[in-house]
Amino acid sequence: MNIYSANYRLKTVRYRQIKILFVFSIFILNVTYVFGQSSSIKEILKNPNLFNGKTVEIQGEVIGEPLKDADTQGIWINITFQGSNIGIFCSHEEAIVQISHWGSYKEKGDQLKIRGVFYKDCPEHQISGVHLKSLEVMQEGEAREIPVSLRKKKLAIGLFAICLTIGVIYSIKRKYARKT
Amino acid sequence: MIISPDRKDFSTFFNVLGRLILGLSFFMLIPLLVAVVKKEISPFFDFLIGFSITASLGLLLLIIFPVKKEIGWVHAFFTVSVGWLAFSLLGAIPLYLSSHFLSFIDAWFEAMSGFSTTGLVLIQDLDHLSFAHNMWRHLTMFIGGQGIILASLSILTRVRSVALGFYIGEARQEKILPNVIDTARFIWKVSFIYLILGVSTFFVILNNQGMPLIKSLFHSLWLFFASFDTGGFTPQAQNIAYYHSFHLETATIVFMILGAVNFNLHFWIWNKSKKEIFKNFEIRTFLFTLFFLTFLFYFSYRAMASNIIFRKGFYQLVSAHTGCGFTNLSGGEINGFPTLALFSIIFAMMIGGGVCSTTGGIKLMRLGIIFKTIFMEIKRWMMPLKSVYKDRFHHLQDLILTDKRIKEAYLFFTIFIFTYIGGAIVAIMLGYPASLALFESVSATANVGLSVGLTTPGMPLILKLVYIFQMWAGRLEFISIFVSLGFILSLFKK
Repeated sequence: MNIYSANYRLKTVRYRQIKILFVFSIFILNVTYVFGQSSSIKEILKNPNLFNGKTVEIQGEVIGEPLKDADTQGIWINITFQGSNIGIFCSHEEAIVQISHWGSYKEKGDQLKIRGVFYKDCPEHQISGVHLKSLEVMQEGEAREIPVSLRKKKLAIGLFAICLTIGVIYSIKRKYARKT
Repeated sequence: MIISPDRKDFSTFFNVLGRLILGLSFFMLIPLLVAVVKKEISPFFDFLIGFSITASLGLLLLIIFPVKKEIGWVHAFFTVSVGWLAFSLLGAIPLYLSSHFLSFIDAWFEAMSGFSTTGLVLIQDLDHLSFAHNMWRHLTMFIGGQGIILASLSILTRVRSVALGFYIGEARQEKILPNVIDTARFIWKVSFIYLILGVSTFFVILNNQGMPLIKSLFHSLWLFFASFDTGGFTPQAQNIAYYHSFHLETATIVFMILGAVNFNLHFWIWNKSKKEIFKNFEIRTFLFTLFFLTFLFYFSYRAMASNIIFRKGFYQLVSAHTGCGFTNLSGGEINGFPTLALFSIIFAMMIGGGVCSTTGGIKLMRLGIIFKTIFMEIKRWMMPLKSVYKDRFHHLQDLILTDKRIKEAYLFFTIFIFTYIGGAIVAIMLGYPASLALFESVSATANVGLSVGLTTPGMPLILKLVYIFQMWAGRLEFISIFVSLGFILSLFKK
């Protein structure tokens, strides 16, 4: 074997190694993150085909309450981010014990970071959703303060007083009309 | 000769309108009570303001405008068309005060969507909306679905003589009982019985899912309003997908279909013959169109598993056909449907449910008559020239397909098609893709509420106003609006 053929063989082996590494890296990327970064719920819902079967990382406020899945022992939770919502399926209840606040009129829900597999047409549940892999509470929620302005209170009481006055005038008018 | 209203007519009309507005103000006391029970302070003041303005306006109209003429058809048509506008504007006040809307127009859009049982939404951050406001949103569908005027008819005795005018004005062609007031009361009675059934069913499902007792009771009530009155609002932004429940979706299918069935048929099945359901023309047309559209849907998704198609396809199809607008998909997912599947949903929305039901659209009876006319004409061409042939159909009794029925069916069909296309053209002119523009336009006119994502708070103002008009006109089936416009125009000809 001369030096040229040895060099050629080395090149071919390296080329093969690079090819394997490239294919492997694509495979790894494919099953872990789509494009290697966290995705927004809006992005996923807009392009469900692109994210189908892939691991996604999303953030959002947890809302409502945990809902039992009728067919499995799992739990569904819903999260919202910038007007887009998605359901997260948790196969066991322990996964959500760290959640302390659920978003509602009176509460701001915990901010969660979710890692899970997104299914466009989940074979288990027939609808789209994320199957939870890991959950992290990024920021705890709190009670929502909904201030009522003094102007609103004054306006409401004033209008109610006017309404009562008109009501009294109407009933007097009706009584008078009946008499005549 | 065209009847042209005079000053006395307007005085009488405003008096009747005042009564109805006063009636609406009493409905606002329900969310006010909810705000008290749930200790929601800001919504309490929102509804106190809403109630005070509405009741004051109603009382003022009653004081200023006395009844100067016997209440007639002119007043009935006027009251119906203007009444719906007034109700949606007044109903928007507490919604706007909730700070969940970008503008008053958005709140008006939402209120009109509720009263017309459409279900298109412009609300923001729905998941943080109060119980009181949610109660109001869903109550608007119940009031609108049952018929605002119909609601008042049951309690107002002064309008008995022209009750039929109000009844027809609200797009209900058939009387169930000889007396329209009794018909109105029957519709309310049936609705309350179904309400108990529906709320119990939804409550059991939601409570089993782990939703707290009181909350599941509220959600059950709202879901009933939305399904039976084919409105489509839900208390959560994800619509029916929030619950992730196959059982709930199946139960809503039942109540959506019940809501889309002609109230006359309900009466017949309850009081006369249960066999009517198998013979009824509307039911047969419904089964035919549903089967055909489901076939198209399955064909376009033939590679997918059937259980997935049921939840992702059949559910939206039933929801579209009954005019409800419940969905377990996001706008993006509906948008991603293959063209054939998307168009089968559009066709289902166009058709709608039975006449004298809570749905919008062309209606099954009219579509059935149009189909029958086509076959009738073919048969006629195949017969001797001088032969007389009349086709029949069964709707509670055997009926002859008269020229009057055919003319009426084609008239409504044409008006609906023009409105569907008209709304779509406006959206196309504003830069939206044609198929999506048609989808949203049909959804608004046929009072369905499914959306491919065009209806957002950020959409152009002109499109919001067009959809408000479409929801209003579609719900009243145009006639009372056209007659009212005719009366107004006749004033200028004097």
